Amino acid sequence: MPNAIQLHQVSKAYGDTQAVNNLDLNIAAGSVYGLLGPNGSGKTTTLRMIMNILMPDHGEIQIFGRPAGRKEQDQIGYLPEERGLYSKMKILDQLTYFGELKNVPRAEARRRGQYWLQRLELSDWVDKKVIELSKGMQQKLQFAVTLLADPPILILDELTSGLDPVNASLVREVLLELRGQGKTILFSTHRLEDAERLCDSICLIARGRKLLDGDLQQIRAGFGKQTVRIEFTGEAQWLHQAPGVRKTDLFDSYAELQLQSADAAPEVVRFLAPRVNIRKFEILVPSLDEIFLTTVAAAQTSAARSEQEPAYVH
Amino acid sequence: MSIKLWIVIRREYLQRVRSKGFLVFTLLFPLLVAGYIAFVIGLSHSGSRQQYRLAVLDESGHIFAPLAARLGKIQFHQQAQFLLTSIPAAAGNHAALARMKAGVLHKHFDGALVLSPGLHQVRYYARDVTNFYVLGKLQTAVRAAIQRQRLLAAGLPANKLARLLQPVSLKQYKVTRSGAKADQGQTFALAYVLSVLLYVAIIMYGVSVMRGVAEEKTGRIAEVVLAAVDPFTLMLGKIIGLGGAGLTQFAIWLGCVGLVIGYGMISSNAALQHLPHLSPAVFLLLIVYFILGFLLYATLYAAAGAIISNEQDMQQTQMPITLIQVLSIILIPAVLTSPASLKAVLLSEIPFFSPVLMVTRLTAGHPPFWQIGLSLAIMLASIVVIIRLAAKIYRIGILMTGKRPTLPELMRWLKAA
Repeated sequence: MPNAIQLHQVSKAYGDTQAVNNLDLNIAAGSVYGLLGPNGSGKTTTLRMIMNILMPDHGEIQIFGRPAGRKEQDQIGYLPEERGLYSKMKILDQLTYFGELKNVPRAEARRRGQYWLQRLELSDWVDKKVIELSKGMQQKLQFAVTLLADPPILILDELTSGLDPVNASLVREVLLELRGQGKTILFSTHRLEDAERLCDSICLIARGRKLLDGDLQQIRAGFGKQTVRIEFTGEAQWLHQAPGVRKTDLFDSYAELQLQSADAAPEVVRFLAPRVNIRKFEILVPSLDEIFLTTVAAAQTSAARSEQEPAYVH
Repeated sequence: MSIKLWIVIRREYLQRVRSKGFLVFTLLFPLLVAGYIAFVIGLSHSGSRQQYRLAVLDESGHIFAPLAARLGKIQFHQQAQFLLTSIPAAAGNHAALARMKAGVLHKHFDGALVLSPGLHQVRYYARDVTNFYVLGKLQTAVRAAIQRQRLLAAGLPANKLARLLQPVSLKQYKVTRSGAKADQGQTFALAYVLSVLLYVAIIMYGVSVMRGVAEEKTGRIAEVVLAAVDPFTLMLGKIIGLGGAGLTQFAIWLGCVGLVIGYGMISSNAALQHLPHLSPAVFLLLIVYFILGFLLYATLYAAAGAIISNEQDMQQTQMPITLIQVLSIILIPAVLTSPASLKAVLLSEIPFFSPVLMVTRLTAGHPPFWQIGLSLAIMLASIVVIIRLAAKIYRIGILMTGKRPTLPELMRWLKAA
């Protein structure tokens, strides 16, 4: 089966600004994929190109193996970061309209609209205009607009921003159900706890370039095992003398050891066990937050360094 | 035509036609126009709604009596409208004049007329010298009385004077294929009303298109819609949908005009029978000019809407387009006074002016078919070109955020593929 979404060497510039730079993405059908990156990293541009709203300057984009275009657009439900609804249109009319634009017959679009309004707890507002809804309700309505045509691919940009915890969990519940139905979900966010909870794979981009890409567990594993948290009683000086330790940070009730490599952990245990009283020894799994911050920071330093080099070196 | 275009058109049309504003304006506008016309007519006649007291210092001694006789014939509520008081000439003319002026100032008189001894000079003093009704009546009466006096002085027999001085007036007839018809400015009025109606309808719906586009842009709706349709379809759908709503409204207004004219044709009411004829062909052409004029301007307005980034920009951005439209209104009188002149023909063939000025010419005269055809062809060609250019600006502008693009930037967009 071809990938749901595939980008090959895609680039896009606005004037002198390179928004996306030779980006490759492979998003398997049925996966939940997180596209992460700081503000201005090229996420929205990438999504717009996948949606065929913007044309890439170079490179190829394929949806289920076919070049992205008008027809492929209809296979994707797109929730842009900047929400947009017709403020003076009644909400069921609005749902029906956007459904029709995605090729759902009118009566069917209306029926599905009613279903989603009920599901997202908006039924009481059927005859209201959008302008009368609270911001959170508008968010949910926008989500319903995205889902109405029941497309195989969903692109959700900052899905849960602006939702209170109750509504956020309602939306997440729907999302899990959609994943269960085998939909491909491309999730763009800089709220990492969402990505952590939902995504199988992630891609981290900054300044239009890919910094990390792959299975979330593997990425974590790659980043982890180098930090050990240890709770102990005894002489702290032994920690400094442990072999394979790059750096030691002592806190009130515990210490964090940065190892030179992941393999050093058993050695550290063997060295410390006879010398101090270990109450807890834990190999830390880095949070996505840390991965994000470290990787982006590293990329920025290297980018800054390369900018200082004279141009003819390239 | 793609089904999505149709869906966009239907939304735009229904949203507009179902709005309260549409209903109100459809009904209100004809009332406003009727009210305005009544107001203007009332204003020009309001001068006749009172009695005028005039002091007359007749230094020649021959004019007062015939003047009083003439003005005395003008009736107002079954009494004379002009009350003339003769100021004795012997009492020292400077003092008399000063007294008269004081009398005018203190509202004992509404005006003072001074006729020089040789009747070479007539002066009129009043608090209000812009009342054309009074001035016109006075001028006619004074002129006639003096001319009569001069003829008498030249030795013509008094009994022949009445016939010699019989007034001559021009009676106007408009020659059409269906015969000649007396016309006292109704054609002028109708040409003006219809041209302005077209102008109002085009500008109103053109601006609606701009507002609609700006709403989608600033409300970030465009991105949601563009995830389902291409920008050209969205732009065209909005123009056609709102244009359809405009056409509906314009047709209702035209229907009102048609009903009044039609009623005038069968009515026995003399005043209504003076209403000008308007053939069905002219009605049809009015609709055609509305459609083409709307397409031309709405496309420009759509491009304008796409480069607006906030409400404040709107006025400034629409200004150049509105100015062209206002210019066509300003040119109506020039075309109306000589609808077949080279100047009028050339002006009415300019596509931006055609909708208004061709309608002026159509109602005021009979432009040859080739000129009508040519103007339609020029408009169509312009629409094709302008839609292409506007679509380029629209495509880029609709997703742009931040500052309004400068003119050089716009030129770059136009050059881009």
